[in-house]
Amino acid sequence: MSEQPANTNPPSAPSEFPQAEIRAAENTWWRRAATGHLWWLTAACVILAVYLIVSAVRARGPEIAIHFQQGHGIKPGDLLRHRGIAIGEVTTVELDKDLTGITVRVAMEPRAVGLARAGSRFWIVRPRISLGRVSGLETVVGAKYIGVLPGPPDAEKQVEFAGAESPLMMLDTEVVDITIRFRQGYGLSVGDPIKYRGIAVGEVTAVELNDDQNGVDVAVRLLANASRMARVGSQFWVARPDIDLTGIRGLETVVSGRYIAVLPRPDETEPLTLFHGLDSAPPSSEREPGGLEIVLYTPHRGGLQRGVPVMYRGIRIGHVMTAGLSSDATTVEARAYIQPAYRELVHEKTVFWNQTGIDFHFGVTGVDFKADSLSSVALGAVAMATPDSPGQRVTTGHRFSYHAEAKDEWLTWQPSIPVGSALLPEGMSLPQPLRATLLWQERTLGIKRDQEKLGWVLPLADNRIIGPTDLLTPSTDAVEESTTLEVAGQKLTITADTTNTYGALAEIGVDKPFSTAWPIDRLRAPTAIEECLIVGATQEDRIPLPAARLAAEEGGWKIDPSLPINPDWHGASVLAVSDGKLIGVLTFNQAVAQVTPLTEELVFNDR
Amino acid sequence: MNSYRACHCCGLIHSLPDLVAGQVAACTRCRATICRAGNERRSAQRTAAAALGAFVLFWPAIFLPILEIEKLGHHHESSLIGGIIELFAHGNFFVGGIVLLFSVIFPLTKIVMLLELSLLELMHRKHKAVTYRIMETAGKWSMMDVLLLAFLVMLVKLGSLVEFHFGPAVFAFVACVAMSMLASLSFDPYEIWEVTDE
Repeated sequence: MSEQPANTNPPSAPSEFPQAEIRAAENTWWRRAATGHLWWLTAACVILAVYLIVSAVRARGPEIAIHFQQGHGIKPGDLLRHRGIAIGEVTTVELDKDLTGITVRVAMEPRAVGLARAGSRFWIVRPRISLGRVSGLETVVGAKYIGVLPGPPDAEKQVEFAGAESPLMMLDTEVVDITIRFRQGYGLSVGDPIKYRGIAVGEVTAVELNDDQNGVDVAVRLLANASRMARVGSQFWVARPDIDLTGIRGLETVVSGRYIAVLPRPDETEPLTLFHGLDSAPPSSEREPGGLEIVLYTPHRGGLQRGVPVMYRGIRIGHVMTAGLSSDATTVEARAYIQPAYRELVHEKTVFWNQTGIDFHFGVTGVDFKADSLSSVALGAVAMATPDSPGQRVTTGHRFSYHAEAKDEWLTWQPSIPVGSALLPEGMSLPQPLRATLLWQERTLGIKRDQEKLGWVLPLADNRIIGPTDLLTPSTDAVEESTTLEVAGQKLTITADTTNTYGALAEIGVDKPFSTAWPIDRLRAPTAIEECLIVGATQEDRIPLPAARLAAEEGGWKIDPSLPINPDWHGASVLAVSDGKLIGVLTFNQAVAQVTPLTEELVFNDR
Repeated sequence: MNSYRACHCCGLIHSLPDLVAGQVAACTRCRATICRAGNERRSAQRTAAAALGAFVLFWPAIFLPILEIEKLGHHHESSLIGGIIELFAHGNFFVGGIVLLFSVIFPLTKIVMLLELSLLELMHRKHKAVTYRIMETAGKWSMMDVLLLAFLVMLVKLGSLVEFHFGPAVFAFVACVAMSMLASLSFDPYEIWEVTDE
């Protein structure tokens, strides 16, 4: 219905078009929203975009590049892990232009920024399975990842690293780096451990030929608790299989890889960072401190060689360390090492002779053949004997003649020498309790019956015997005058008058002193529970008794029932570990073991 | 000023009366609103605002990581562009090309064209017509919303198989899709001609 024709392109029949209705605009909220300004929405979008971008950029830590010789299948998306958690991600893996290695770029998380510093070591974790250890097993099925050992905390920032080719096992930051120079590498590789007393105390971080090409420099990282080994005098050598007739050593290195063994110097010396490694294990590594070194000389070598055992009554007590000509070539000299527990066996009058492993005797009855242990068949042994009056003890360096054969009388020598008091202060002898049998007769329903009780008693130097009360006093049911005690071939009549009782302990007097009597100055009445050692029948029978296993009760120290003690030990001696004095007696009270401590009256009773 | 306009709902052509503020012209047949008073015509402004918002969000949407997948220790994080590059790198030119075309190029074209039409009033009419046609064509093939749907389907299907997280780009992506839809909804093709006419 428009009268006025429109501007440029009027419709063909404008008059037919209706005019639109005019209506008041509704003022509802959706109407306003549909027609209002939208710039606030644009602002919101900009804020969202800026926020997302900024947070994404901030979530991105430093990017580092690590050069490896081998990629081991690492690929973008693999993680950088430290102490088991992901702290970064491989973004690209590129082959170097000169084709000699690869470069792995890692985007680190911001919290890991501290790892991007000089001294950090990176390596690709991959499965390593050997008999010695298994590591990186999770990478068999999962993704490879990059491990990292952080550098020193105050080091400078760094973004380019040379990766280690072999996984490093340690993650401690308190470490000491040393270099050991060997003449031979013996196949050492990065990651091999340094072991001391069979456990790893460090790790090889690099192996390279030294500048003069006459040796191998092995960089070693020692754990913090082993840092004391980096001192003047410590000895390092590469443990490797060593098989000879005396034994097989280092066999574990055949399958599990080499390791560097270390023998630290026991005393405090100057710290050192460059060491010269030994070609083979030092002889002293087979020794404990406190042993005895003696020299054997002989006109002819006669089986003396390194590793030959020194035997006493068939027990190995030491070994020959070196054998060679004396300086003037007139004799053969061998240095032998006697273990500390057995050094008491060697006295001035001790004799050493060559014990061949096999003894042939041709006689009318045929061939008599005697052989000792297999190693002595192959090597022979150095046998020794000490006479009953052994003379003075000897010190390291004492020279002994080495005889080709034993004289018959030597084999009959039977000196009683306490040995093996390893738990006690050095040189302490051990008490020798005697087997005692208490015999008595009881009358039951008019019939006499023999009864006996067994145990151990200890003779003292002042003609006393001490032991459990029930072993030294007549039983209440016993027939009068029927109770006797048999000790070491002596028969003692026991009555209530002969015995002094002190609680669970008792003493009786004897006429004749025993040869194995215990010195009276080595008795002590303990005031509190302390570390002790039960000494039983033979010198080998010793039970260490930690104070923690003892509980003070009335009349004695109850022994933890979890510590099995044979009731046959009733009456065994108990020594204090601290000073080697006798402080008590092992007694059984209704099958419960306890230590009955000596009392002051018992100790200071002078007969 | 009088002009003619077809009802966008039923298509009946009306001549438009002069309107004062608070009035709208309505279709005589279907009663849909055809036109508003001149000072309330904000179609171009609204389109420009929404298109600008979409444009700003478009870049984080395609460059920031959109998916974080973790499977058996493998951690994978990829953006839309990264995914397309990966597809190309693996030789999947067809799929990569389709995703690139319909999820990046066409949506971007549409947004830019909308911006151009609504914001820049300097253009020659002929140029405007070409731009408008391109926008119409490209807009049909702009399938960001479809891609979003695809991601959602993947989330449902793979949820139990792998550990699956949306990256920050998803927020940008959703907002971008919403803004570009709002922009095309607000766009009133009549207005671009009116502006030039005046």
